[in-house]
Amino acid sequence: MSVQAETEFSDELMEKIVAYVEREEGRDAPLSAEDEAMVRKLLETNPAAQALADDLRSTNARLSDLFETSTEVEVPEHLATMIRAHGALRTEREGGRATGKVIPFRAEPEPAKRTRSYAPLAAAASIALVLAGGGLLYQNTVFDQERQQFQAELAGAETTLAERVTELQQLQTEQATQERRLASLADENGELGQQIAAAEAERDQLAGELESAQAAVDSALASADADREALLADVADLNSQLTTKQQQVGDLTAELTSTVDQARATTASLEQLRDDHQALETRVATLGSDNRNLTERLSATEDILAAVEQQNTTLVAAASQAEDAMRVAQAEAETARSQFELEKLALGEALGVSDQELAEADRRTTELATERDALAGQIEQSSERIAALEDDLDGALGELVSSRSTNDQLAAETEQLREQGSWLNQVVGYHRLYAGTPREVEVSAAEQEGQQALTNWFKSMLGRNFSVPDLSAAGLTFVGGRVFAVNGIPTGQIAYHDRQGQLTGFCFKPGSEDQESGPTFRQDDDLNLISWQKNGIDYVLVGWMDPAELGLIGTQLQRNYGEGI
Amino acid sequence: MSWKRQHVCDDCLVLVVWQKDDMAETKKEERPLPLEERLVALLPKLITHARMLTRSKLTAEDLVRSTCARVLDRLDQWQSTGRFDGWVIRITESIWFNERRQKRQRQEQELPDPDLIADRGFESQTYARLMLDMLRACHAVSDEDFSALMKLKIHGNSYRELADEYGDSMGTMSSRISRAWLALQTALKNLDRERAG
Repeated sequence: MSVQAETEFSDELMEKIVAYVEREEGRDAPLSAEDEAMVRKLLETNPAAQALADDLRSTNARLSDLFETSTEVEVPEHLATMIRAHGALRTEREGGRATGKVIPFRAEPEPAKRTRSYAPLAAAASIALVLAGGGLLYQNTVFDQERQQFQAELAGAETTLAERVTELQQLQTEQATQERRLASLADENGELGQQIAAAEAERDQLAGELESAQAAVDSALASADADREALLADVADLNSQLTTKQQQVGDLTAELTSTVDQARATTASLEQLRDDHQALETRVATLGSDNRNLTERLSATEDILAAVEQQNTTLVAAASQAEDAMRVAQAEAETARSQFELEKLALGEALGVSDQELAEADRRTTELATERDALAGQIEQSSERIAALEDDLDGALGELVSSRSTNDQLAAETEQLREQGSWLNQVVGYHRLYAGTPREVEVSAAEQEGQQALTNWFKSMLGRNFSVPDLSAAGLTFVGGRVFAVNGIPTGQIAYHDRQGQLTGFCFKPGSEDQESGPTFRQDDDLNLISWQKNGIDYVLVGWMDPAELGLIGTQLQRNYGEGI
Repeated sequence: MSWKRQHVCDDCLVLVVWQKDDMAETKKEERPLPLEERLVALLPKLITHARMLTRSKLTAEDLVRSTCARVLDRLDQWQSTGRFDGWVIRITESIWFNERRQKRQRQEQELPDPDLIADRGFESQTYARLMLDMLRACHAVSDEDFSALMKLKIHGNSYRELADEYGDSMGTMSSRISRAWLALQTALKNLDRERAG
């Protein structure tokens, strides 16, 4: 990187560039968002800044390499051991049990104690002193210079000796101190050893007691465990029984609830059926009564009509006669008048007509006129009466037509009821005939594809699709079926066995178009029947099973069974 | 029935797991890792730091031994505040800076020890030279700044932790690190110029 780059940026800016590179390395160098954006832009646009950043990254990489190469260190094992030993010692001390082993950590091997022996030197010094003294005594003059020399040396040696003696004393003092300390430590060690021995003895005793107690406890625990296992097994067994009983109670309760609900539903259905039956009977009775009334009324109307017609004929004849008589009377009256007038004139002319005869003639004329008016009024009344009778006749004819229509309908219904009653009777007859016999069914459910064969038979004979309903939930088992004829009309039968193995038949035939009725309940001795009509099909369910149950099944079939299409 | 102890070591926690023989039950207790164990765990980084300071393998070993002795001697003074490794490093640097002062007084030369570059059979002589140059360049950085840099690189301290340890603000610590980097770069450039002649 050129020197120019270094001087190009201020210290502050260079610091920000360094912080930017540091943050690239994932470190939390302080750099605001604005400064970071500024540096980023600078690095994009300024080659010198780019070069500086690259140099920093390179230096960082080299330093990292240096640390990596240098981190292949082998930790001296003895160092780690010594540190751990120190830790163990410290732990023991903190636990209050100092051991006899005190392993002080030393960075270096303990320097050899400088136990120098100053005796030879002192002896040498002493000898030197003695020799020097003896020499001086014997050669005072000769060796004056030597004496001076020796004195100087002696002074030096004395100084050295004094220093050494002082040092020796210090060392001896230190040694004594160390020895006292050692003795104290030895005493302490001894006491501790005794304590340890006592503690160990106590520990052994306690260990023995503990073993005994442990054995007793183990034995008691084993016994308690065995008892507990047995009790747990008993409890589990009882719980299992309880669960089973609870389940049974639950099942029974559910069954009871279901049965009660079914009974209620069946009772309601039966009541409904009875009401419907009663209503139907009432309707039949009412229709019969209406029919009778209308028939009587029809007869009465016909009589009235005949009488009116007769009367009309008579009145017409009387009116005709009256008209004829009136015309004759008028003609006679005119003739008489003319004759009277002529006679009157003649008489008048003859002057011999009497007043009495004239008056008589006037009276006769008046009488004839009155008779004529009376006849005219009578004719008018007869005409009015005829018109009224004609109106009555029209009304009676209209009622007659209406009554005849109602009568026809009633007759048709009555006929239908008669026919249905006849069909049901026939179904009952067939049911009693085949039940319990080997020919109870013509097509058996046990045959291969028996159900399909049966439905095919229904289709071919009745012209419609009739499926086999699954009534197993109601306790009815499908056993087969047949087709038989009632009054020449084919009737299909699907046969079931109830829980007691008795035959229950579900029968159907084409009926009146778009008729819907029922379900209707009836009994034929011990046999129970539920019948209804739906979508032009007559249905009946017949069997010996409980009427409430039969009614329930019939009601469900009436609501849900297929359309027969 | 007996309990068996297991040891799971963390940086500063030991997780003691007691297990029954039949492994049916366990119980755990956490205890702080003994300081001695933490010191043993710190030894690799401590040795690296010492080598970077001393630039000599042997001198670094002596320095580490002296550090361990002093640390163990002063364990009672450790107050569990701050980082344990930071406390140990400070002791290391204190010992080293005193020794270096004495060496300088004795005018002893300080040259990087080639043994510091582990013998990995480098094919490239250039790479080894680059590493040695780097060691020499480290010497150009002031003691405090280089110490902070090594704590960042070797020990993974954050700027915040360093600022708290040195009693600096974040800005001041950033300046210190920036100075260290730039001093390294300048020293490396000078060495390159020397080689180029």
